[in-house]
Amino acid sequence: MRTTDRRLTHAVAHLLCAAALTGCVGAIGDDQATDDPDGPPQLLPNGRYDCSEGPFPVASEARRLSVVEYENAIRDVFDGAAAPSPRYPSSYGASATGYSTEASLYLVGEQSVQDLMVAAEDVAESLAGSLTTVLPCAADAAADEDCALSFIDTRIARAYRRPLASDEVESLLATYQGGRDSGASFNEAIAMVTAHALQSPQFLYVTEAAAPSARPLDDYEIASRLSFYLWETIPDEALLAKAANGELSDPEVRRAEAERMLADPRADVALRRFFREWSGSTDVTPSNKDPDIVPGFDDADAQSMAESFDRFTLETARNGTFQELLTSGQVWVDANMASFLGVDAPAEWAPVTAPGRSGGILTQPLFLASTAHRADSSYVFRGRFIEKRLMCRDIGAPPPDAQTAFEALPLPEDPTGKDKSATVNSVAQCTGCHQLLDPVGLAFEGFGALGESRQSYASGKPIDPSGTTTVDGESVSFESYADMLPAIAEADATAQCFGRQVVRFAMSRPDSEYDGCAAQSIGDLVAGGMPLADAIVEMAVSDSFAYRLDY
Amino acid sequence: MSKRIDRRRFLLGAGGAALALPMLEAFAPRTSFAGGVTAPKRVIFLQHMHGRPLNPENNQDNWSPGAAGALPTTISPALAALAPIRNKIVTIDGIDNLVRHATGDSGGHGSAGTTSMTCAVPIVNGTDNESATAASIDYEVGKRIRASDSMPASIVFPAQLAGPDWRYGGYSFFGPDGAPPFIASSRPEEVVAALFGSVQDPDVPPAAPSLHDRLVGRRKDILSGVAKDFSSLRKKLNAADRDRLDKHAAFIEAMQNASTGPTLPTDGCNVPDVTTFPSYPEDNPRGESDAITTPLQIENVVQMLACDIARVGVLHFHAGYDPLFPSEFPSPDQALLDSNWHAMIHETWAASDPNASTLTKAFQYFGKSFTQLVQRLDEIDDLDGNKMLDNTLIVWVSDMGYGSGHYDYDIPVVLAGMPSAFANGQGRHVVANRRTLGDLYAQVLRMVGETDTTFGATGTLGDIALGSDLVSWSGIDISASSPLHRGAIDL
Repeated sequence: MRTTDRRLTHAVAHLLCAAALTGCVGAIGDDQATDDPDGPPQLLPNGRYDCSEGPFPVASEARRLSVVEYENAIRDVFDGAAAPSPRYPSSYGASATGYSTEASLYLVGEQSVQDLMVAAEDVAESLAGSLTTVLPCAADAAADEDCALSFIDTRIARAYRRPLASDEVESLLATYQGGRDSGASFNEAIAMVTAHALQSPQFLYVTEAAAPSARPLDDYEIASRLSFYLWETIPDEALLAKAANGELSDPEVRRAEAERMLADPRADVALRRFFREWSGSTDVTPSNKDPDIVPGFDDADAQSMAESFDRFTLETARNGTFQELLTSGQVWVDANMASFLGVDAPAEWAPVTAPGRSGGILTQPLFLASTAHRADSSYVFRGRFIEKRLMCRDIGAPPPDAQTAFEALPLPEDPTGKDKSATVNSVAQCTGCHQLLDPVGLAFEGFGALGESRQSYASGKPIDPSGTTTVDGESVSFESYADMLPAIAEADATAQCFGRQVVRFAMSRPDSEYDGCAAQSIGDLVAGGMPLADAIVEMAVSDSFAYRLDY
Repeated sequence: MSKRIDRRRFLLGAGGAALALPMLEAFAPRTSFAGGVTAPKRVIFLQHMHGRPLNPENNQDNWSPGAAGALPTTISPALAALAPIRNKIVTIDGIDNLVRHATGDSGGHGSAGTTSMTCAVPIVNGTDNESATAASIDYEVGKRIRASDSMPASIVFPAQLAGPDWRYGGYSFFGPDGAPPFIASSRPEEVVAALFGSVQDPDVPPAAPSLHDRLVGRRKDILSGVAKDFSSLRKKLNAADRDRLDKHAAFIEAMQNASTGPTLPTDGCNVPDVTTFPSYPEDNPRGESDAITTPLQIENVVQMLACDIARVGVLHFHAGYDPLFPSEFPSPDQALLDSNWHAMIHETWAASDPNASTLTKAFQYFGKSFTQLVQRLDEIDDLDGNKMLDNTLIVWVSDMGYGSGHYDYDIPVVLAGMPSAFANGQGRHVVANRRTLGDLYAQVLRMVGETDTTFGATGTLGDIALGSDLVSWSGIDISASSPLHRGAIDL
């Protein structure tokens, strides 16, 4: 039996936003202590979860496929013989975790239900021209219900990610037969079956059976968790075969499958999205940046900057460590990026050691340009990433009258980042958060609005990136980011935060104490300097991918 | 240039094809009357972001016309573009968004968006990451006054072009329970295709049924099968997942069962001719295309009403980018260049600030758009012999009172059209005695014939406060006992 004090859980989970930072912590839960065999893992006085007595099931929400998942699924269900529809409705709203597959982003409304219908018809029409490539029996002029059943048993089963139940088969066959009875040809009736299946919740939603008490996931549920986590698409034949054989409940089988999938290029899309969304790095639009920062910076440069970031994160995810992710001096360059960084241009994309950049993902130009304004850097944006996303500190929102208070304070002419920070920190309501955010953000003031290196501000005033912050409860003084990041990269709090980020991404929802053991096992791997790939695989091996509980 | 719709085309959507799009072909039967008929009520909402250009404190505000009463000739610096329609509008001070105040400022712009049209407490996820929990006023009023439930309750028109690397993200407008709204494309020519379809020669005989036609013809049966699949799957799910799928299934059921009551296009129903649309930059990161596409989108809104495709719409000037307002700064040397729009709003407080005049000039873009909409509706004859403007209420609001301070009080409000709903007449400025957006929207519902006295969250601020400090505003006392509705605005 496991017990826990949730109040303690929350308190330790947010330990780094301690009493000294009054006014900056968000609301802390006031749940009562539980004594429940289905409760979360116990949090020990040393701040670690007791994961000795598993399993530790977690919750999952039914969610509609994202646009990328939908497009990949259409490609894979029909082996490329049908084109996905541009009418498939995308997300609406904002993500709580920063990751774009959350269920609340894909609700269906008055318009999207029509769009789903039209999108399904689009695919059905697209498939019609090459139906025989995915359904050879359709070439027979006498193709009949047996051939339709074959289509359902193969292609629709792929779409549903499992064998169909008898009532699901009957439902689709009724559509087939209804079409035939109305005068439709065989191929037209198959198009109707396709349009039906692609509007069904069995295809559109990733769902699992309810778990009022903890239960193991079935193998097909595990297969879907794996494939959407690592490939953002439906399971492939190999994974479904493992599911059919009942092998996926074995964590070592899951490990082998996850390793296979991570090595496959199809994992690129998920890895790319994770690092982009975790770091808040988005494509740069040159016209959104002051043209005087880097004269001539154009769309091609922007594309190269984005690809450089993705190449760095993909390479590090597969062959690097968490510490290298945060302290590497490498930047991938082509001719455009070489020019941007002032290094020799390689013949093709290649990693180089970029002068003055030893902050891994944090000194990738795309990250720095994304955490900047139009004409200048933003030490607040950069500090916010480090505090909230890299260290999981619970930074609250500014008080309602913070702006009023700030505006009342005069800034010196041509203020530096430190001038602005000093002004903000002179306001009592602001300093609780800004004393956290500002020093770590100001450490990157040597990089401007496009992530370019700079020695001084446009005004000519010198840049001072030195400061002091707190890491794992210890005060750390630094001259710049270059001697700050190693301390952050080695901190257990940072590693544990990374574990939580992986959980949020994999589960498409905020994490809770129920996820504590999965997050901790990932955090421990990265803290120990193990390959980052092992940490990504660990999520699939954890109880989170084998057990469910609706708490 | 525009193309008239042949009356016979209005019959194309009868029967099972009522589920088809484009909407002009889909929702039928359509009926037109020469006169002597009661014209439908209609409502258009405009929303721009960030409220007034300058701080309403310390007499810096330049949006308000000032004291209650007849509007001055130039109205106010921010509203100067409304001077040509001065006698057809009512400006209002003293409207507050108390519901957002209940969330503190924790939601940033996100909570302003999700509360300003819903008046419902959002799900607070963090700065700018709020989720709405209820339908916005446009959906609610549209649901009440639409011709039938096959007509969209409300259609949201992004007023500005979305670029290839960003898309419309207003997040102020919602369907039931916070579901996504009906959003038109931000590209005017795509709106024409979606709403009106391609204009066909009625004398050309129809082609043989295609696969598409057959699929469309079987929609109701296919949806019936899909509905069974929902029933089958839901049994296995937990309550939260069931609820999500049930809401989806309810929209399918509504689509299946939508009645097709008669619609009432006016003689002014003219499909915009996309071949006459000027070309415009595909990308629009700083509003380079707005001077071209916004007027076209306004005409699409007008035609949506004139053709009775929907009776409520939204023209949304969203905050997804930092525009340069080329309509107001046509030459490069005049451009609004300092940092970006959002930053300029935050950095500009007083009339003496360097960017105050620039911001005020840029604000004319919103005012000119509003004026164009009012004037176009005033040109088109309605079914009852009046002008469409006489039967159309236009409500211009913002997500905040004053964006720089993220203030929730003194939301700038301008009403126009439907003069019969204004007992005191138009061409006036009204100073409401601390009414709320909930009061305003309840009044909008009453102006179209409903009887609502509240909209959105009810009770007091304390009933919905989410634990943040309920700080008072400048000269305005705020406390847990502050009511979320205070009654009618004296219009």
